[in-house]
Amino acid sequence: MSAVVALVTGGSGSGKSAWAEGLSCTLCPGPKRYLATMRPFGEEAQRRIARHRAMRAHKGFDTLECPDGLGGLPISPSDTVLLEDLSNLVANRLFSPQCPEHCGDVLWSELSALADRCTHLVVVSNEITSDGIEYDPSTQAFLALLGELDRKLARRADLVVEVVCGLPLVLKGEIPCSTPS
Amino acid sequence: MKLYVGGAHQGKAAYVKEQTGLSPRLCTPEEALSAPAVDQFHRICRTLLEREEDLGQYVDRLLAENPDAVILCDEIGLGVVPLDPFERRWREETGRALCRLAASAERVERVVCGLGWRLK
Repeated sequence: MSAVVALVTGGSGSGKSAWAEGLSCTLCPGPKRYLATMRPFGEEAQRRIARHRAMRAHKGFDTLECPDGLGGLPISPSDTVLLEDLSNLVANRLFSPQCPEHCGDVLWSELSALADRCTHLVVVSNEITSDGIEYDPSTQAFLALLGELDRKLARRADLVVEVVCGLPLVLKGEIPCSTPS
Repeated sequence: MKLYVGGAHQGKAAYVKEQTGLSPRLCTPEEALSAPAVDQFHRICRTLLEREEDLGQYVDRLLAENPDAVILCDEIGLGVVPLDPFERRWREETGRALCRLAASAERVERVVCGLGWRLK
């Protein structure tokens, strides 16, 4: 299968993680890289991480923790990579004391470099901008940056899917054969 | 009438520019009655409700006076229903206004991550 860059988005609890894992397994039935972005702070984060680990068990994912960015990761050109998720990565970077001045540009260059250097890249994002709430400026900046990266990645991606109730709504491209729907 | 909806920061204005060649702009409720492409219609709804005007009547006027308008609006009704009565009413009435506009529109698209999904 030729190289695929895919963006999988959806609301909270939409089933996007499981669907993105299924897509990754279709793209590469063998060993895969799982890039985990959640900081393991607090009981809720621990529970979510444990739940996601259990879902990934036996699916061939080798987990790399990368809550602070995508630079310097041991990714080889033959790798299939599942990055979960973009909103955590953006929040971790934007709200870190070491946030670079052009945080969005840095994140985009890391993300596009990752897409360049692996075979298949599946990125999970989050649809969180439809609640009509006027957040404080730092949260607004986070939502704007996430939206910007979503749009850039969607432009570059071969496949963009919004997952609703575990079912794929295809916004761009075609789902490769034998992905569970 | 063409209607483009979607969450905040999803690239609606850029998508509309690409599709129609028009540059959507922020309008007062009065300006929107003659503007070719109206950005952030949800803000117009909010202004009208703040002025205690009737949003339903305004939508009738908009459809009558500017039938070829391109309207862009954020989806604002997918979060928890707010406790504040005005915030609640804003979401509800904006949603209803969009239903009315969509019913009359020749084209309705939802924009996610800069990509359009045609609903009508």
